[in-house]
Amino acid sequence: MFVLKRLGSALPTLFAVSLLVFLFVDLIPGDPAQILAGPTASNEEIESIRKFLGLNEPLLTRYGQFLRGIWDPSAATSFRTHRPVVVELSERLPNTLIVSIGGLALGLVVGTIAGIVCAMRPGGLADAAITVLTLAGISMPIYWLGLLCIWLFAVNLGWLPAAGASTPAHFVLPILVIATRPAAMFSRLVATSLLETMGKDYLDTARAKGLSETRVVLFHALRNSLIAAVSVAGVQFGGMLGGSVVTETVFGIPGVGRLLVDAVSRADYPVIQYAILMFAFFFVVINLVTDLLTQWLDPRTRDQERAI
Amino acid sequence: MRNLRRSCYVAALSVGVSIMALQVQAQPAGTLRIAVGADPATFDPAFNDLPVGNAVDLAVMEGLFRLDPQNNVQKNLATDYAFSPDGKVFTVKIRTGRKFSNGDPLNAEAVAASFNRMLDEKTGSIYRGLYASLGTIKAVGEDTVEFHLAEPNGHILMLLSNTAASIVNVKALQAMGAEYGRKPVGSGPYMVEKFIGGEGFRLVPNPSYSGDYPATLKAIDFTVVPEDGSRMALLETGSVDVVERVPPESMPAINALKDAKVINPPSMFSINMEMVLRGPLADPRVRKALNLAIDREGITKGILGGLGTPSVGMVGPGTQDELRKTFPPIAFDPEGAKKLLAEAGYKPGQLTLSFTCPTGRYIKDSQVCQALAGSFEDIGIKATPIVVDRGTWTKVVGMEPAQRTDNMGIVGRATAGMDYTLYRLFFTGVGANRTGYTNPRVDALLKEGRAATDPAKQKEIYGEIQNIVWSDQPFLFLWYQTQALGVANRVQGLAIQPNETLVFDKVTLK
Amino acid sequence: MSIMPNVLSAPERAAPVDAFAPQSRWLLLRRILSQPKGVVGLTLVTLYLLLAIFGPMLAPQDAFRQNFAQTLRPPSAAHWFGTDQLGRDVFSRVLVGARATLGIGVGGVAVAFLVGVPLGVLAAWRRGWIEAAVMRAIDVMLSFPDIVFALAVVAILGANMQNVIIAVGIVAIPVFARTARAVTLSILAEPYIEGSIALGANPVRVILRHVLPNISGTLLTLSTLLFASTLLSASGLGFLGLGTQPPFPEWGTMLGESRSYIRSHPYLATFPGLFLAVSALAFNLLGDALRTIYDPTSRRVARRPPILSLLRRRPPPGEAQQQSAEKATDLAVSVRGLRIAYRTGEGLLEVVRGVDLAIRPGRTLAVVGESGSGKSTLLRAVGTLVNPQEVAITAGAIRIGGEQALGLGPAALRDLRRRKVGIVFQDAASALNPVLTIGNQLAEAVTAGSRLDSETVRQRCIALLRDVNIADPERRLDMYPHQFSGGMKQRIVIAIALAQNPEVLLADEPTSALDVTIQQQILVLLTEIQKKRGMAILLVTHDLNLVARFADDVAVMYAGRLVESGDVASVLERPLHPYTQALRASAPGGSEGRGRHLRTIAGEPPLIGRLPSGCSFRPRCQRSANRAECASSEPGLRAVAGRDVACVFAEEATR
Repeated sequence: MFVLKRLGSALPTLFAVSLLVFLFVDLIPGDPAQILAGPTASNEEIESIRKFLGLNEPLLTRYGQFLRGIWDPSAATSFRTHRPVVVELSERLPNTLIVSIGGLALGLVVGTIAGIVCAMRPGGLADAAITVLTLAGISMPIYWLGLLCIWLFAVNLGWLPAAGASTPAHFVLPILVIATRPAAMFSRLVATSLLETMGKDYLDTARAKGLSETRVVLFHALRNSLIAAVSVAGVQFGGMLGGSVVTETVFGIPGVGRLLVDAVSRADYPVIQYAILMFAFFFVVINLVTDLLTQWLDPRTRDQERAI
Repeated sequence: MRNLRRSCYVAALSVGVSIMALQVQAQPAGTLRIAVGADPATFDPAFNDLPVGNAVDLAVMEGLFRLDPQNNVQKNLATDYAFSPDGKVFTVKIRTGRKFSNGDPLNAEAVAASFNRMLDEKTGSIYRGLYASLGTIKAVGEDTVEFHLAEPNGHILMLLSNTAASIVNVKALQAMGAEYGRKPVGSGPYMVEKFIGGEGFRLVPNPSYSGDYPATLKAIDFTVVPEDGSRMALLETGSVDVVERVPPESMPAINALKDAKVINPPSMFSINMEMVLRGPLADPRVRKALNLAIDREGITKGILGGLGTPSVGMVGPGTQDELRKTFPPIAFDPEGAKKLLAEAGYKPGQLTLSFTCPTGRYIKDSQVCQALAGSFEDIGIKATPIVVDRGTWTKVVGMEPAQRTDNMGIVGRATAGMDYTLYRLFFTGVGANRTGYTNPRVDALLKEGRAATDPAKQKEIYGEIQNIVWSDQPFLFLWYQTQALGVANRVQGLAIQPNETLVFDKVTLK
Repeated sequence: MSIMPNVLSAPERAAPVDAFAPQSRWLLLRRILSQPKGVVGLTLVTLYLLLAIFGPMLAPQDAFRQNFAQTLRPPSAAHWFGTDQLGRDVFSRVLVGARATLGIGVGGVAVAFLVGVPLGVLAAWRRGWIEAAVMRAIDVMLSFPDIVFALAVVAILGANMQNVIIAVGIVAIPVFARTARAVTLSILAEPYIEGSIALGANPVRVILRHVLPNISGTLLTLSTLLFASTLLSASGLGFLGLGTQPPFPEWGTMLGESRSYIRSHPYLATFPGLFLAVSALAFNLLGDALRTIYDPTSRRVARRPPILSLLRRRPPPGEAQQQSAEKATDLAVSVRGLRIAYRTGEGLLEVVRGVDLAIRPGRTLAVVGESGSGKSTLLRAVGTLVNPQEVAITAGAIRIGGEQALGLGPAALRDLRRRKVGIVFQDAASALNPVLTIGNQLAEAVTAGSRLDSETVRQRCIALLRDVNIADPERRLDMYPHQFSGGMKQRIVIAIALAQNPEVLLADEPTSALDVTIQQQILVLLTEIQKKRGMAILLVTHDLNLVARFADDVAVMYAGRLVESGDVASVLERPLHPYTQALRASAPGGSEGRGRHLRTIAGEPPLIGRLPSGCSFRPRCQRSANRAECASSEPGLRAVAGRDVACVFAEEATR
């Protein structure tokens, strides 16, 4: 029930996104017909392509067409391939999800563990090492790291394939690389909020029960400090979908991110619009999952949500 | 990149050329693996605009004509052709008994349908304008195709030997819809076995092929990897046999490999700074000064790492070489340039110019842009390079000259054909003439050249046009691109056309 | 999270939150410099800022001068960082690029902060439609992949530095807004804020005084993280050709441009990359240091893991002799010569200075004293709950139920806590874990150290809740702490404390957070339970009325020492120590007293570590006026009229 209500309330968001995306794409410089026709095309050639693509229609008509494509795939086809955009996207989506979810999950686990280690012994050797790695992780542009990893693991050591997506081994490097940022982010967040939680009386209550320190930290402190981290995780996932633009280019993975980059450089409007709309939809879903997780972690918010 | 082409075949490996002949009859063997940088969206010749797509179309389909390595138009499906006396009808006889890979007959009717489909407005082909002069096409019997031309055209064979004029199976296309772009049904020696969007595709021999260029490979695997560094890594790890577009800085690393080398076939792609001929640039002395200010050797060696040769004529090598004219290289003479500027009435620092460059469109484009700015500063011009993304660049260089707010823009042109290149760039007021160049003599010559069918006459006409353009300098002539591919030593007989199309006719693997 | 170990000062912890906000710029600077990470961070940030200001002037060569004869040279004496593909001096370009790079980072974060934080706070404060609108707008913004969003902004506005700043700033707004909202919400839910809101406090004042200082830690952390990611976003834009204009150097763009040279000419990417990464490091370190200052909670240093605490808890010196002198086994609690000190940057600071206590089973001992007298620390030490990283037990012995409580290994310590000690805190709300059900928390206490099947556990939990007079216990087990009233929560805390039948119940001002009727109920409950189970209670309070009614014995604590102790009847009826007398005089007679009894004692309690010579109560004592004895040495406890008292002139009061 709650889920349905939330999804329902997301519809206006998606509508706003669709409108924005549509206008945005129109504002971005570059005429699709001109780009398709190439630099040597004559005005008449460009005009005829523009007509064919329906770009001369009034804005509202085109927006209507765009919306129609949501339930009628054949109404929205790529300017370049003439295939329904839905088909194009659905072919690429699994690759993007594998890398993004894999990267986020790995980053979450590694980051949380690192955060706990940091918080348990602030100022210790492990803390110092993790801090340095964390900073390196968030300071390196992902393409730099990716290329260095390819050089080390694929070319020099020969352990993993350099680029492509044909076998599971191809996904190892991209997932590792993409996990660095969430891992770094989480280790800091978890450490910070864990340190804050560590001063709470209820941990002493727990200790007075005779519980082990490990149980006190993992069962009592961590759950509380994860609440803040989870809401960031949702945002992070959105960022990772966006980051797939770069990662997929570097590792030659045929995902939605690369499709989007190609579409932007070729002004393939329908693909840009639907790709972004799909990202938006994912974001709504992720947001929902984040909220459910927060509720599960923090019963206080549960009652607040119900009250609304 | 436009794909009107000349088949100036380039031997990939000198060894390959010598043993090519011996291996033609062999059974298909081995898998050739290629990593390409661009992601082909479609192989449908009516829409494809990438060299990779050209290579696939060349392997998967057949045209009426194709170009041989000596630059001659060769008959492919055609057996004979003739103009009507008034030059309005062009008749082609085709081979009989040929079939598409799905078994459909490839007869005159199929050929006519293929052309008419491209020219149909509803198809929306990006080549419709280019081929508009073909008029309407009719099949007469099983083996004769008639082109009822819209206007006399002396360059029709050039048009028909382009892969954009490959014969598609319209029946299959109608049944498949957009999927045809991925698995086109043609009559070439290969066919597309699988296509994974963005990842790669595979060509395998077409068992029903009966032409002169039978498949020599069991399979050709393409992988799409846009990032240069990653693509190079694939060759270095031995995961592929051929990599496209080797950046100059990676050439030493690849040449250092035990079992691969870089090859550098020439390209017809010529990169120029196209000026907007108004304001200060309406003065030929200023244009000349700008041309003298550029150290072309320095740029092609220092920045492009040798992947370019200074321009010596308007059109690039491989552009109908029998009609092409070249000139002595433009000197690098900053002093002379300063003098010319002074003559034109500009003291140092008085002339301000801005120019638009894309980034990531051509090899090292944004760096070249900065280098050019430096060169202009050296002769006392205040130069502002405007480096913009591809979308903005397309928009700016595609504007009418009157709307432009900058003075110049870097544009690369695949100079595929004399008429095609010169008419579009220099005829007064036509679409791609973005400099605002106008010269009545050139206009007259261009018209004359288009209708001329006699090669000697054409040579004379186009020679004069090239002379005028070269001395008028509406462009800041820069360089012709040089291709760079990394090729494993086991690959023999790979040819690359000047328009960057790979040709697999004679490829074998050791 | 610094590289160097750092010890944080703890004694000030009792001060209110706002006292941590530095009073002046110099104080802030001093506080930053007192931390190693602050020193490193501030130094680097200063260097970077200097670089941004003076870099272009320092550049040894023209950063724009091209030289095709000198392209892609490795580092040399002439070109420290080598030359780039146009033969320009990379070192000079790095110097010149500092301004643009840092400008983008600072500008982007500033844009995001200035827009995002007010939005987030507003959303949390106003709730309702404003919140809905803000959150919806944020949702829409977040729905766009950030790079694409930034790309669109720059593409539409045009590529220049100002627009890059706007783009990367806008992209980061939602993160700030969301976080600010989430943290503000949790702060607003704190009881003391809820209280002041309910009392009609000015909202702006509440936000400025309570909310902002409390969320600043999180926001500072976020800002530092976003500083780095903003630079990277800008670099990503450069990578896509929408960054700063190429001839003008910017580190991110330089790195992006040189990415294809990573292998052939590694130094080309390395130097801008290093400068970029180290600038992120610098801002992160400084941010961490600031966080420690502004965010009081981050001062709390975590406990060492068990293995290390074993090493830490060496038995204090001089314990052996004292042990033999006492027949401590009869006592529920026995404390001898206990000295406790906080670990601070300046060394150890004694807060408990030689305390002896003894509680027999079934008896209640009340420890009274002002805030800062060390009584709570004493209680935690008895409960074995002092944090060894913050606090050192330097001398003395603690025995609980006859067992040595100091210097135990983790397992033995757990066992001792479980079997012998129950603890009740002042604030029941914070003593219960908000995210676990009552049943869960009770069951944990019940099952600790034993294996019981779930039904037995459940029955025991229900029984415990019955014991503390909670109606309908079966249903309550599945409820969360926030669903209970304050008094109920305290009952639950007591139930948890009683779960393992402890020999000692430690109660730290158990009722001061409750209203008077509930207070009575809780205390009556405690007394009943004590009678039933025969356990000892150590009650820490400053409420003498409460002591008079519920305690058997009382110990008055002043500046870390006991100044008077004995049975309640004799001490409270005829106090001998001037401090006890003052306490007594200041306590309101009735039973309604809570909170503010001690205000009327003249003078301020002494600062720990700055005690006066001689008797520490001397400055506030009328009896001591100009008496040399009081100034010469600190008086020890001695038996006078049926109690122990630490005053040289105690007899004067008996007359």
